[in-house]
Amino acid sequence: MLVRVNTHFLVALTGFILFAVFWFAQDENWQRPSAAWPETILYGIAILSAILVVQGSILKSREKIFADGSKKRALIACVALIAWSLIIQGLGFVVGSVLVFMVMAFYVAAVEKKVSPKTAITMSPGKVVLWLVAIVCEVLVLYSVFSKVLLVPLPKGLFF
Amino acid sequence: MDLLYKGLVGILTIDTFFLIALGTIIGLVIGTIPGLTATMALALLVPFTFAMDALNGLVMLGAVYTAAMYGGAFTAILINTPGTPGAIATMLDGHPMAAKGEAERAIVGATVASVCGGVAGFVALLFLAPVLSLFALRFGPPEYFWVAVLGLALIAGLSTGSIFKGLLGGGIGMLLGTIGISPVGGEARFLFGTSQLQGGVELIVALIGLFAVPEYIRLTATAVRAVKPNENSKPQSLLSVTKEVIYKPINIIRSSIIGVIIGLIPGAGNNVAGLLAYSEAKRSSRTPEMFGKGSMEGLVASESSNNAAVPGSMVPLLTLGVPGSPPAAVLFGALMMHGLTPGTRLFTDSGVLTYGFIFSLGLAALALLPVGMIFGRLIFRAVTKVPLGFLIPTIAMMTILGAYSMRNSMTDVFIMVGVGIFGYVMRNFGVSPATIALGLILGPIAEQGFAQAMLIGRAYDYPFLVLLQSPLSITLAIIVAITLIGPFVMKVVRRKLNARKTILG
Repeated sequence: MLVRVNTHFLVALTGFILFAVFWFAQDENWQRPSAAWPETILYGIAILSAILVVQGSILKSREKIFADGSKKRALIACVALIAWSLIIQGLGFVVGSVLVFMVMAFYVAAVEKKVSPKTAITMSPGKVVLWLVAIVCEVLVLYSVFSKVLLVPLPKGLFF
Repeated sequence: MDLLYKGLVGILTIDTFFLIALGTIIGLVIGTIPGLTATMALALLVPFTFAMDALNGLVMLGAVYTAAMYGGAFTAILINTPGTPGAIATMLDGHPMAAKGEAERAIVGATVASVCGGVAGFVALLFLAPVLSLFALRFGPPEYFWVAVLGLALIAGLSTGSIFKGLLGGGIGMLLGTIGISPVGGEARFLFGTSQLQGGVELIVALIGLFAVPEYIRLTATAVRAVKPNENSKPQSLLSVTKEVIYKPINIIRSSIIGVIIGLIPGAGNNVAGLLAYSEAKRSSRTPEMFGKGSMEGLVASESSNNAAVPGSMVPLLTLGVPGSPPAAVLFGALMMHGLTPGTRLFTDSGVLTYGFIFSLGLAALALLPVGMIFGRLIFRAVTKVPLGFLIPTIAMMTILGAYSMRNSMTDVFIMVGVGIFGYVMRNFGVSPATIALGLILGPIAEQGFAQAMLIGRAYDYPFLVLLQSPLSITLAIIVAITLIGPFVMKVVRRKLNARKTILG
């Protein structure tokens, strides 16, 4: 289902929300050199948001939003990224990444088969094993490059 | 002249060529991966250069720096994510080209433009370094402020649809840039009760969020790749694309000059150079409506400018001992460790080594052509052939790794995810993520310039007038005014001309 809304109002609303959040997070004890710049930006955001409300009222246009692909899959992508960030903190980079990568890889492969059956890959048991090995190898190679060569201490979590 | 000749002869060895090739490959790999920076690559490689003689060590570091700046173009073109901040403007036209099935043409065009920009910057560094260093010294806080405002004025050009949405996006970016320690007063701002935000929003973390995450979400939502293989067209030959790029020499020359000048200014960075050159190219183009839809002119302007900025940033480092960027600061350390003291006497005391290093930057720029062409085509094949089931989780994992490795912090990963989802939503509302990025890049520069200028201005009756005190700041203010008012004036003039034509004919 396509959602059509006046995006001027939505952007203005975002502007007003940010204005409110940051305005009340200001500290009275800030000295003038530190306070002046954010204050100026906040006034600018409030004025631009007000202009967008006026522009939206005059134009009365309704644009499609989230029209690219499935909204459900977009949401799943967001949840997966958040879950990935949380899981590597708990289980460690390698174990967490292998798990989430596997789930995502097979989910996307299944979706691709629905969306474009001609170009999608047909999964045989042999191919599944090959994918699993490739996923583990990719994660291990990246882990080695980052932690051993580039000396980035990746999250260890419960395992590694 | 004798030193110049000896410097040139000094680098014409097999060892040097090998090290330039190796440095170029390392730089390309680093530049391609969002989150891995030229600074990180240089810092990691400095210890390896201890075992080499001074010239070889510096040659390799110079090649890494040059190639890392260019490597950012690959991901910008192929996955709509700038590998380095300097490639933001490259992405604006490079990715639409890739989406039209012209990825190879975009990669070859970016390579040729990078080589042209790199060579132009090298020539400026070789022959004009002392003069340019005097110019760099003229930049004080008011000039910094105007350069940042000039960059912010580009938001109008980057906005698609409503200009006010673009300006609000820029404001949001600037607001994000105020989180953390204030650059002038030193107070912690907008921490929202957590000390983890004290370090602020790291630019590259935000860039990964703003560009890579929305692309990852879009790919998952559509399950269709944006980059199409050019199955119906012939492989792009280097000669035909080179002709196309060089056919408009003014664009390359203008963009390279902008790159060198912005590179000279400590702190401005090659991201500003790319964006300014892009904006100027759009303004001077006969087909400005093509910009943002896959214009070769826009791509060439960005790439030639950000690569010309690399040798440009070497001018204050080598002549004044002032490193203008984080990678230049690492090179400053490397020069010191190899017994060279950057500053006015560097060219006389260690002339052979210094000129050898400068020549190596020119060779590194030329090395981008063969190495970049091979590497670019390999990445292109990978992005178009790897199954989506592998590509999408790989992009997700690289965003996490890139954000984490900036400061070894999970907070940065969460900031990246948050900024990314916000960027995706805003993109759907018609706010270009490029405007938010521009605000984030230029906000802190403008704030620092403005606050310092006002502190200087306290000595005068009208502190604001300090912003218009020097001829350079007045010139910059006039350019800002032209950038802001120019498009409206041109629109009115065109409308009147069209009306007159209709009446006459």
